[in-house]
Amino acid sequence: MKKMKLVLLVALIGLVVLGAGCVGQQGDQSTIRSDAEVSERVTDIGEQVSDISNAVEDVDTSLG
Amino acid sequence: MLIYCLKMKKPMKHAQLALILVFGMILSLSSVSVAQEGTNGGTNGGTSEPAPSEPVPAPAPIEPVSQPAPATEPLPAAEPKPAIQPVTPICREVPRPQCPIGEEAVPSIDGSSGCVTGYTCQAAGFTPDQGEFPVKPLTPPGKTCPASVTCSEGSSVACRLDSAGICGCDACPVSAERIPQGCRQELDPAGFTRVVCEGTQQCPQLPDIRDAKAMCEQKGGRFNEFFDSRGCRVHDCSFGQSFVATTPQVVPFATTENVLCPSQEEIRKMKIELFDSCKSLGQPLTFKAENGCRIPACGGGGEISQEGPRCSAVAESHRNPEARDQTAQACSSSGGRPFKNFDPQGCPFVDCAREHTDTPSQFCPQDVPPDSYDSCGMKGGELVIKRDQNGCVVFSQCVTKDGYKGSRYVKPIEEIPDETQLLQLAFKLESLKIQLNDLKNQALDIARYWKSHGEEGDANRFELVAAKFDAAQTRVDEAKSILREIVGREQINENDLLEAREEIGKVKGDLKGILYIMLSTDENLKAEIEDDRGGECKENTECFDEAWQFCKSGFTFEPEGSRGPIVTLKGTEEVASGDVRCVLEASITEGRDGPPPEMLRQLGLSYPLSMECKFPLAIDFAREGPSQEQLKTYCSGPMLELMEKFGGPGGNGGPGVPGKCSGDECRNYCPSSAEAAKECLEHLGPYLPPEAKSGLERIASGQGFGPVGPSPEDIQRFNRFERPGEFEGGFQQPGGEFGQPSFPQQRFPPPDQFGQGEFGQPQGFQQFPPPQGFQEPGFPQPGEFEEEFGGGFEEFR
Repeated sequence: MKKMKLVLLVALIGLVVLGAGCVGQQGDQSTIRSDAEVSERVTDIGEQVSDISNAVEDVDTSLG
Repeated sequence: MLIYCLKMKKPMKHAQLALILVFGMILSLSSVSVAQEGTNGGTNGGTSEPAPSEPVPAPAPIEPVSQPAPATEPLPAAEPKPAIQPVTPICREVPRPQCPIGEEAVPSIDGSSGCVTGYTCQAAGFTPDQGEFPVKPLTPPGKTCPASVTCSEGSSVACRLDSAGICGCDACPVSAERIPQGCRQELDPAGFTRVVCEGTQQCPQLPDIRDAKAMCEQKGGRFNEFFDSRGCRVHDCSFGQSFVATTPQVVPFATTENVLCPSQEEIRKMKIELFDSCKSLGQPLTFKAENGCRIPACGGGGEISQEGPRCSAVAESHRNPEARDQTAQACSSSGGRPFKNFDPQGCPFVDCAREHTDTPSQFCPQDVPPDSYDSCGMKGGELVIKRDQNGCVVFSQCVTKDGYKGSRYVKPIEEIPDETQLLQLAFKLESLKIQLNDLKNQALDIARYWKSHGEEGDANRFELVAAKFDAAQTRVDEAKSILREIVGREQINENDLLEAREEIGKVKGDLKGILYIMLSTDENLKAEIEDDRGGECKENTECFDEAWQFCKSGFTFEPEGSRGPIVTLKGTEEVASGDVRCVLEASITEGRDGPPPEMLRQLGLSYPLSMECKFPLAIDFAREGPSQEQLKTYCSGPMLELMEKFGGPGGNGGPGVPGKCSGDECRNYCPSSAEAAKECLEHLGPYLPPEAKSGLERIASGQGFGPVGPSPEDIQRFNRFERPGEFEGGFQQPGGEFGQPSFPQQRFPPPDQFGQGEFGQPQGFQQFPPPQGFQEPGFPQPGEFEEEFGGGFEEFR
C-alpha cells in the first residue's frame, strides 16, 4: 500500500512538473508558421500603423 | 482513480484524498489540453494571449481575372496536392460562379474545417469589409504562386509558396535612375526593397541667429537654440515660466512633482499678446512642454509643418476607410477594377482601371512615384517598398529616425470644440486604443516566432515594437481620460486640451518610432537593439532619452552626477500581464552619496544598494523621471525598501526624534541645544557617521555650546560641509541669492532641499557641498543669521 502511495505521489509530482512546463511553453508559442508569414504580418502592421497615424492626425485637428 | 479510492480498506486521510483529487484533475485537464492541441494542429496550443488577427488568408486579393483559378477549397485525397500544403480535411466541392468583369469570386471559408462553403462576387482584389487597401499579398490555400515575376525595371525575381501556403517573391530592385544621389538600395530576403539615404538630409536655412536672439529678447522672451527632432539646428523664443516646486525628494533620481504651471488666464493673456510678436519673429505661436507644463513660444514651425499630411486631395480623402470603400464600389459598379495606387507624394489612394486587362502594369502600380524617392532622400530616410506576386507595389513607407519623440511643440487651440465633438473624439480614441492593443499582440506574436527560432536579435526588435505600441496605447488612454474629464465641466479649460494634444503628439512620435524600429536596417539601431552593445550616457539627458526610447540594453545614466546612483537599461521584457516593459536597474555603491553604511547596517542592508524596475515606455524617464507611485508599482529591491522606510512612497520621512523632528527637520533641531543633541544621539546615533556623531556629542556635553549657541566647528562637523567649490553656480529659486543653477534645474536639489540627500536624510547624514557664497569660516553674527536664513537664531541664546 505504501509503495503504491509513493508511486502515486511520484507520478503526481511528475505530472505537475510536466503540466507546468507545457503551460509555460504554450504561452511562448507563436501562431506564425513561416518567415514569409512574418513578412506579411510586418507589412500588415505597417499598413495599420499608417491608418492609425491618419486617425491620430484627425483627432489632433479636431481638438481645435 | 475513483475505483482505486473505493477499494481502499482504510479511510484515507484528508491530505491523501486531496492529493489524489488533484492528480485526477490534472489528468483530466491534461487530456482536455491534448484534445485541444489536436484540433488546432498544435500551432496555437492554448496560448492565453488574445488571438492576433487570423493569419490564414481567406478571401482574396488581386489575382488577374484571366489567371487560371484553381479550386480554393482543399483538394480530395485522390488528386495531386500542391508541393507543400498543410493537412486539410476533405471538403465538399462548391462550384465557382462566373462573376462580372472587374469582380472576382471570393470564397467563404468555414472557420473550423477550412472548407469553402460558397462564393460571392466582389470587386477584384478589394476587401471592403476589412477597410484595407485592395492589394493584399496573401495567397489563399490552393492558389497558385508564379515561379517568378518581372520587376518594373525589367529584371525577373523568383517566387515560392511556403509551408504556410503563402506566396512570397524576392525583392524587386529599383532602377538605378530612380535612386537619389548619395542613396543606395538594399534587397531584403523578406521581400522588402529599401532605398537607404544617409547624410542626405536637408535642414531649413535659418536667419541670422544674432538678429533672432535680439528680437526675441526685445519682446521679453527667452531665446533657445537647440537641435530639433530631425537633427536640424533650430531656435525658438519662449515666454512665461514653469517652476519645479521645492518638495524634498527621496527618490534616487529627480522627479518633477508639484510643478507650478502658468494659469489658464496667464496662457490666454500671453496668447493674445504673443500672436503678433511671433509673426514678427517669423515663427508660429506654439506651446512647448517644460517641466510638464505648456509654455507659449514662438517656434517649432519646422517640426509642426512636417507633421501635417502633404497628400493629394484624393489620397487625403482616402485616409478614411469608408471613403476608400465607396470609391472601390463605385469603380466596380461602373465596370472598372479598383486598385491601390500612389499619388506623387507617395500617399496611397484607391484608383480605378477602366478597362479590364490581364497585365498587372495596367491595373496596379509597379513602382512608387519618382518624387517619393527624392522626398524620402531629403529627409535622410529609408524608403521601404514591398511588391506582391504580380509585381504590384502593396506597401511603401518612408521611415526616418527623427520624430520618434514627437514634436516638443503643440499648436495652440484655435477653437474649443463643443461637448459632443469631445465625446466623439473620446470614442475615437477608445477605438484606437483597441487597435493599438491588437497590434501590440501581433508584434509580440512575431517576437515569439523569432525567439522560438533562436533569433534573439529579431525577437528583441519586435518586443520593443510591442513596448512602443503599449506606450502609444497608454498615451491614447491618457488623452481620452482628459477629454472625458473635460466633458461636463462648466468651462472647458484650454490648458487641458493642450495637454491632450501633447499626448496625441507623443503618440505620433511612438508610431514613427514603431515604423523605424520595425522596418529600418540602420546598422547602429540593429547593433544597439539586437546586440546589447550599450554605452555610457553619464549625466547627458539627451543621450539617455534616446537610449530610453529604444530601451537600449547596456546603456547607463547617472542622473545626479558621478556621486549619485547609476541607472542601467536591461532591455525589454514581456511581463505576466502580457505587457512589454523596459527593464532597468538603479544602483548605488559605497562611496557615492548614499546613506552611511552604519545606517544601512542598522536596517539590515548593505552596499551596493539596488532595485530593479520594469517601466512602461510611456514614462518619460530621462526628462521627468518616474513618480513615487510609479516607483512603488514597477520597482522592487532593497533601494526601494529604503525609500519606503524613509520618506519614499508610503515612508515616514526619515529617522528622527519622536515628537521633535523627523528627517530634514533634525538638521536644525539636533544642534539647537545640549538637550536636543542628547535626544538626537539617543534616537539617531546608529544612523550618524562618526564625525557628525562626535559633533553632537560635544554639543551634548556642553563643550561646543557657548553663550550664543553651538560653535561653528561643531555645527559644521554635524553638517559636514566638506567639499567647497563643487557647486559651480550655486542654486536658488529665480530671484534668490545664489543665482541660477549651472545644472539642469530638475537634476539639482532645490534650495530648501539643500542639506537633504537623495534619500531624504538630514544634512548631518549626507555630504552635500555648500553653495557658493556659503560663509564657511566663522559663525554668522546674530543679525547676519537672521538676515540670511530668515530668523531662528534668537532661540539659541
